[in-house]
Amino acid sequence: MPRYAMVIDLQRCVGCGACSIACRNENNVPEGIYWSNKITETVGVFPNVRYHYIPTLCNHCQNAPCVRGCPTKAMHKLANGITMHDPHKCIGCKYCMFNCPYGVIYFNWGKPHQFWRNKDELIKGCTASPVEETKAVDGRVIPYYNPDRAETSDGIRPKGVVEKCTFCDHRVKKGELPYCVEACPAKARIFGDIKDPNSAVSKLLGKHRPFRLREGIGTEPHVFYIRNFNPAQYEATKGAA
Amino acid sequence: MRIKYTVWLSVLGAGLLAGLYTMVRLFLEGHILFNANDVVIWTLPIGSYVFFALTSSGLGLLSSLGFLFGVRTYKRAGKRLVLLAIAAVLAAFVSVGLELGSLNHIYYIFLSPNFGSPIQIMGSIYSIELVCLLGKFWRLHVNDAQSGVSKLFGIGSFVCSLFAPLVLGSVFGITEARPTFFGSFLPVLCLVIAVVSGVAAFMVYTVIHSLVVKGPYREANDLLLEDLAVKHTFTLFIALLFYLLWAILRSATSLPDFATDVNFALALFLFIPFAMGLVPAIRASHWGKLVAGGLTLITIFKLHMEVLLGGQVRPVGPKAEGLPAVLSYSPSIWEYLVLVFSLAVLLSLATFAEKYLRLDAEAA
Repeated sequence: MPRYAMVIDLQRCVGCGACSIACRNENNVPEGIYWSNKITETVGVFPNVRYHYIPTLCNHCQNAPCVRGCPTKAMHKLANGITMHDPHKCIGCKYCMFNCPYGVIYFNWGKPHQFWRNKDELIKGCTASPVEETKAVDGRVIPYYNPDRAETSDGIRPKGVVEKCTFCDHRVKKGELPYCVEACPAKARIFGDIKDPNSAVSKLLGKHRPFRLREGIGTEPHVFYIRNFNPAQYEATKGAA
Repeated sequence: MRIKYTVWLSVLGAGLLAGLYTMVRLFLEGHILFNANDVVIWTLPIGSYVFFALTSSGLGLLSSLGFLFGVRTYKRAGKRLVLLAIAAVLAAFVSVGLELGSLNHIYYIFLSPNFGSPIQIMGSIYSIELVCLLGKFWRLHVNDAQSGVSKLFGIGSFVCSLFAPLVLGSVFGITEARPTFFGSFLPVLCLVIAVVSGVAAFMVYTVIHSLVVKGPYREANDLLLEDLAVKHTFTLFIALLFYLLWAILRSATSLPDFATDVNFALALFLFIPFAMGLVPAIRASHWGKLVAGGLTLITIFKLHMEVLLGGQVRPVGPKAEGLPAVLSYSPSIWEYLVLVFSLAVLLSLATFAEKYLRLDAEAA
């Protein structure tokens, strides 16, 4: 059985956000919820400033605190290492969100995709209402609904339960790549079996010195970051006392 | 007297109705009605749950003094103590039930239990505690505190009341993601606070009861209240010590911001009832006990909220995008109504039990 992991090459990543948009489309992610997200930091004082961009998603930790704490096993590990969530078993206690050191689990506070339930025309007498648009394309709640998502879990998760990235388990099951990996225009995301020494992820991890988020707390995340984007040149100097 | 009782019942009825309406709205619209978000996840209803659950454990431990260990002063109060412990744990269940997002999946707690989860363990212990308390109340009601069955319920209730606060503290204490909570100190603090809450709640209740119902047990009640006042002062001192130690250790080791004015103001508000308890004249008076006990309960509630929010107001990871470094929180009307509902359940049970269940009867 493979053990899936993802490598994100920060030198290749241009911060375009295609991964996040692709994820929303593939997984019918509602507004306010981010299975694929980013951490941005600005370091320094103008004009000597630097901008860090770190794409984030569920780390599919080996020792996942969300799985350990879930009272109903709604959050569970698949044999291939993917941390999966079963919305049918979820009681909405939110303890996984509380336990997650990475802030990548979200809660459906209200009915998802509220915008598409709106019966008001966007421009009165001119455009259709969101509800009419949805009906016109025979979608379920949202016009861009992707039925593939429902192959392994709920297509759209109901209110009162949490949701998070699943490494697109429904695609992986069919031998396809997670959609964020597929959609990345810079090939900055590399996905594969970390147990296979010949896989692309294993080779990259062997070649580069990777880091993981909050490694010190022992969760063993399976999203690795390599390299860094830094085109800055500087004149060689020893500084001054 | 009759008019006052009718007014009191109307107030309770209004509280229950408001609570039921809140439940329906939450069920239909979801927790969007709360002022919680993906950063400040657990809010007033969880604070309310922690308060009532720990108070119930404290009351359960106090009831064991008479029921299990034969302390004379607490024997006659046993039935009332057990009833209040039951009412408090039910109030806690109301709070936590309305906090859960998906009540229609709740049966998975039994069908698919994760015995490694502190929430599962806590839920199991509080459920067993409720069963033991009900059993204990039944034995007291049939005037039997000595039989094997009674002892079994007594021991079960004592063990649950002892461990439940420790497990509740562990729910927070094992979250390595949140340095404010992480560590073994919080479970111990929860146990200490459970004892203080239980003593303070029962002292306040007994004072009000003896003021409202001028029954035939005045003398015995005075003895009980005298003992409660001493226990209250002593346990408050321990709680104050633990709280200060915890806040100082936390502030020194992980989050300097945690040592805010509010935290130390809370310590001051715990110190005032302690100081009141040190003055024999205040300790002996009914109003002194009422004010000291009431102040303790309000401060402990605030303390639960402070600790609960202290570990959540700093956004984690990508959730910090576009947000301030520290978030603020104030409850919505619906969150207040959850608290009102829990309180109404507790007080309704106590009111009807006082009327129909002979709570002053002492078991043999």
